[in-house]
Amino acid sequence: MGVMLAWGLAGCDVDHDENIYCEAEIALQLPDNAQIALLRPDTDLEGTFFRNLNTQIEYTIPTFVNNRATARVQKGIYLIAFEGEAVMADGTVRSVRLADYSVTREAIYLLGDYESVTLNLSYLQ
Amino acid sequence: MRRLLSILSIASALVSFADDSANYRTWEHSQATDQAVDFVYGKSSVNRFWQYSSSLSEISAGYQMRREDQAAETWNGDGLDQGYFDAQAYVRMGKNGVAYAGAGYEYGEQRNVVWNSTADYEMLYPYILADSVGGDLRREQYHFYGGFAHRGGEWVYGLSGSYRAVHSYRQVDPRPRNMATDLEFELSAARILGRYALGVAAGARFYKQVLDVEYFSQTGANSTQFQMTGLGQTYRRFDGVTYTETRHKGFGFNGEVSLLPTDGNGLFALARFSQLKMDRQIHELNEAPITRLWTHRLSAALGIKRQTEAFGHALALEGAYERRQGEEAVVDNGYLGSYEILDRHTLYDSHRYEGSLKWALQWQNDCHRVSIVPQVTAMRLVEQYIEPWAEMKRTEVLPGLLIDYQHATDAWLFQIGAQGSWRKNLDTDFSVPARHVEQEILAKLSYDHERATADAVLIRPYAMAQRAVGQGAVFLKAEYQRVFSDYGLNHALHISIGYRF
Repeated sequence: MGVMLAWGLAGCDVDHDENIYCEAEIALQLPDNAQIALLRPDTDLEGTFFRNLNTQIEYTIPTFVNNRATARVQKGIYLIAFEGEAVMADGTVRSVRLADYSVTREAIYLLGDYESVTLNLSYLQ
Repeated sequence: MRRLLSILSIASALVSFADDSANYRTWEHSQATDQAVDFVYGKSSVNRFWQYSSSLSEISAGYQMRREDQAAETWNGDGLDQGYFDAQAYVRMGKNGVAYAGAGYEYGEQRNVVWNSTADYEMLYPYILADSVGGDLRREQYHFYGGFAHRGGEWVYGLSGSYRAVHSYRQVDPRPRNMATDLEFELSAARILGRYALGVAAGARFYKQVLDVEYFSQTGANSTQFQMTGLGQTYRRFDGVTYTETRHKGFGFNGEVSLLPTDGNGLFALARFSQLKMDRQIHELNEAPITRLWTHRLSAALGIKRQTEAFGHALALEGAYERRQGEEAVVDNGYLGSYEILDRHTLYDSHRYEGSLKWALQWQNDCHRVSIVPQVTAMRLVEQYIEPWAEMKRTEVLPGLLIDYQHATDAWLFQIGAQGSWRKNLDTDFSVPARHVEQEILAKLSYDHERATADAVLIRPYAMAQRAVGQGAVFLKAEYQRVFSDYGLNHALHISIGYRF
């Protein structure tokens, strides 16, 4: 009986050795391979989301610096879409859109402890 | 107490009743000291070899009613009307064999069942299908069980099996229809060592449930079906009215070691472990198992019983620990229609600790028996959901007392008694952030938690009268239960009539 109680009390804390989170590095690529110095997605638009397909939980889309950003999300498959003003490396500002991964069949897979994905942007103007 | 029994005997001018009569055998099978240590006879067929020295069979029919102003458990509704038929037999076959069997049928209606479309809720929790509308639910259940134990020299061998089938349905939208089957087998053996028997048992369990929820209204569905995953979370991708056909499939095994005195006086001990793995599959997704529940249970009990002709007492200490771990699958995008499972994560974790201490005291002579059984039970439940983080905890203690009086003659056997207990909540915590939980689900969760942690007093008086008829005896039994709390009227009635032989 004492052994059982000890086992139970020791197990009171959450016991999950498994890591359910993915550290995702997201790289953006423009059609002309232009470098983006800074890109903040417009979170006020309804079409902006970074959503786990199964849990439907939405995460904040990170700010991209030099074409890259990192995000810590629960492992799963994700839909992502946004628009924003990109400050290019040469100082110009261009409107860009990420739309290719907004439908189920194009979802991105973030299943490992660390994942690196490259997503294709397009120019709006 | 002995003086009181003597006075009662003189006052009623009674004589001993025949020891092969149904009344006598009922008298032998209903001792409070035996009931205190009956933990050792629960699942092991070989241990039942020593349970009683006489045979007793019973057929009965009865009615159960429950009414609650506010449902104690929303998933169980606020009322019940149910009729049943039951038959059970314990047969001693000479000195070396025992057989036992039972069969039963229940049919009834649960009122206002909400937030539950699944049968066997407590076994499958938290992976159930639920909606906020609910309604009355018709339910019928069949069950059969049987076993035998046989002695050969210093060994006793046993085998048992049981089968249960449940069918429940509703005839207004939303219309769940459940069919569940539960099959168990057990093998056991015991070695006689002096006055004691050391036994081992092992068993397996197979469970299946098919659930469909339909909406017939031409105006469309009047609710959303939620694939619940624990502490207010749901598998949101498959919530709605499209994925409402689920299949639960489970397999389990168990093992136990026990010790008991072959003459009924002495030390009783039991240690038992069980595991049940239960998948929830979505029929519309090619039976993709979106969740998997692991239930592990470890229980142990220790008892000591001393029984003479005039006085007996039994002290029993029981404890149990149950852990439930729930895995949610990462289901692929389904583009090719196969819905592969890419990964699984444990997101639900619960720990349940239970302990009880019971002391049965029994005074008797040839025709009167008085039993007093004080007991105390404690329970602690901790539930956690990993992402997004949520936690619910509660601790409660239930002290109680049972007083029972039995009076027997050749012609009659009377029993009257009452049990009272007090549920006192010691500790509670409700940390479920509203941000990621549907508002109506959060309200339901909050109500259930408040209800489960509310202090309450339970009183349960009962009475039975049994009259010898031919080779057997006819009985009539009634039991009433009332719970006093801040949630209005909560009571239940159970009456039955039957024949023992």
